[in-house]
Amino acid sequence: MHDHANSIPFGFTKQNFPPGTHVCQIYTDEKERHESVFKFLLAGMQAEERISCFSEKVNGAALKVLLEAEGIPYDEAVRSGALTLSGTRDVYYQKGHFDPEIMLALLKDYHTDSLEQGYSHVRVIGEMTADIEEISGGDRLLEYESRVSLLLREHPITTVCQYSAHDFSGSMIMDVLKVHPYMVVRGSVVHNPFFIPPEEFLGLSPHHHHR
Amino acid sequence: MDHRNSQLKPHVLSQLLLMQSIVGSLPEEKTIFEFVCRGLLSVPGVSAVNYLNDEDPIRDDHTISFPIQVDNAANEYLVLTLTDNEAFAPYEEYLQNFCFMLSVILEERNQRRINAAHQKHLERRVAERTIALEEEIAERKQIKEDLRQAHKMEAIGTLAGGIAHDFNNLLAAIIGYTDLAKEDIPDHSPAKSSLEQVEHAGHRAKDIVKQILAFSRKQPEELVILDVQDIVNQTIKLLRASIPATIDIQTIISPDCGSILGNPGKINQIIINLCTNGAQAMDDNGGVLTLELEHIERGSGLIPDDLELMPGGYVALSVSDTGGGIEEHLLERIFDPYFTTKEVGQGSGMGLAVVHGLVKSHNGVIRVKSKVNQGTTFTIYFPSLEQKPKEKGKARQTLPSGNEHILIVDDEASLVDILKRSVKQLGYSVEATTSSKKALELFKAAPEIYDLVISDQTMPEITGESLCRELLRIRSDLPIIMCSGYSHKIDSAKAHSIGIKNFLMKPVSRRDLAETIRQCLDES
Repeated sequence: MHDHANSIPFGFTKQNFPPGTHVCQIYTDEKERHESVFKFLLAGMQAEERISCFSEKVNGAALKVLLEAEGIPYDEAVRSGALTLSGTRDVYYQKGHFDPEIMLALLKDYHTDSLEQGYSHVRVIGEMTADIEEISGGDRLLEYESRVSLLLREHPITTVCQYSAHDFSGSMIMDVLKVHPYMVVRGSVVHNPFFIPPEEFLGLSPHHHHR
Repeated sequence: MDHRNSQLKPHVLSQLLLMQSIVGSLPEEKTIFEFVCRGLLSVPGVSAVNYLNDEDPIRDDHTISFPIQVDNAANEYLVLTLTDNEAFAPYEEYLQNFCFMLSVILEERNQRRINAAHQKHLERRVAERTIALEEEIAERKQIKEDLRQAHKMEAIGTLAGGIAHDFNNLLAAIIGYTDLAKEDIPDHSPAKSSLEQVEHAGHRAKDIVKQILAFSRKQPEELVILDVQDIVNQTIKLLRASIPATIDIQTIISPDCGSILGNPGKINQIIINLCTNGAQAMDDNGGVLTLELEHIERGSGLIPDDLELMPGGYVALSVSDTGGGIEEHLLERIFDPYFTTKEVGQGSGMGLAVVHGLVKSHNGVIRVKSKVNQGTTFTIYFPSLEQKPKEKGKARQTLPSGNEHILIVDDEASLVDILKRSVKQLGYSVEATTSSKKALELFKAAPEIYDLVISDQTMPEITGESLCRELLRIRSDLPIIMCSGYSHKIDSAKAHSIGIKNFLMKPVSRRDLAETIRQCLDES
């Protein structure tokens, strides 16, 4: 990470974290998921960061009402590109195929472009859908998540990955934990003791650098 | 296991703690066990983790199992396959604690589920009971309303009964004297026409008293087998004269509409009241008044299902008008006594209430349908009979007469006078008194000289009923006719039960009186 200062507010917890923190949230109900999304986006908008939200469940009209009630000019943010709302499937499974290379390139370009545009920081919150396990390339999800941790060292996008406890199996949830250094437990972001460093998880040499 | 040479790795304990934190929020038991089995693979020395349902696993040197109590009846077992017993050994007691915590979490979840099911069950029971209570409250409200209505009707009935008695005595005098006066003057006298008007008015007043009694159901029942179509045809003839010419009266009468058990006078009254009501609804602009009579069967689809009628045939009488109709919110009140939408002086509000009472007294049901600006239809369903009415004989032109000796007693001097004169005109010899005590003395003195006694019921000293009992005790074969203005103490059935031959309601017409006297004398 470029900057190790705990400067990034998550909104849904009082803690601040360094830029490029990669967090996993296992949520059990819609209220919990929605609250995290809204507060995470609001904190980013208030800090004038560039933000993307990948979700099948976020309702733009409802979000607009909530953000405008907090004084955020929603339409302006969307028009300027400061805030992007996209469907998970539109972003992750373009052409019905999940390709980690495309996704990592997309994140890298998004970060680079954001800095060039003058944004101080970038954050992404994305909800993974359970159908990834059946989609071509979906078996590379854990590899992708692990490589995201590597990418964020060079391109410190603060990232929250949301997984539904109802939609994923218990073993998949445990596997997902292994590729996220942080996780949300009862509203707090904690170090994840199951996390396996990407070099180890991916079987790379300790001196590996992300391309 | 000997684990003196092994060391605990703190991050493994952190993993156990984290799993403990997470499992509580995982939605299903299966998800929890899958999650835990995968997580416990991080424990040193463990190569595989499975869970078994309610089955004590076989243990060996490379297998260790931990029971997890899911509920009081069932256990799950976490079964760990070990590749390095020594490396695993330091974690065994932590695993035992972990599994105990897992038991607590799962038991608590089960309890929550049971509580939720109980709560749902209770909520359903409460909802069901609430509906039942609401129905009970509505039913009680209805019963209360019915009781209030019954009390109201009872009060009206008592009042009506009292009025009817006095009115009938007065009307008996008015009609009786008028009848006698008509006999005394020549046919061409202008006074004869005036007397006919008095008599006509007297009979109308008599009808009103009948209506009041019918409404309060105090009138004695006289039910016979009759053809409603005959009554409809007769009534139409009467009505044509009193209904405006702008109203066209049409009848659709099925020839096989059947007979009913009823009172001709009351059926007549029902038709008159409904037709008058319909005619008044069309008074301003005219229209069509339709009387329809047909036989229909319950279950044929022609009788509305919501009507509570026994299976069988019914004679359906409909009276329809093409008037202004009745607004829906007023429909439920139209049978209430004194309810009227007409202007003051144009309607008493009793017409439909009387119809309602009369229909009920015939075990019938009345239904009204109305549309504003289109008209109203009243339909009455009378239970139909298989039997046909007896053929009526031709009316006798002359009054039956005789020469027997008759004792008359009534406390009203005017009525005694009328009866005495009427009976004498029929050829009988008469002894009359206004005192029941005197009548008894006369009879005791010479019981055999009297062929018949005509007695009032309501009299001071000795009531008509007591007098008759005493007379019959002295001479059991004595024919007696009882006349009453109205009494709640005696009716036709009770009179017969004590041996009285006939029971007449005042005012009594000369023909009825003559025919009843002759019938009594002939039968005795």
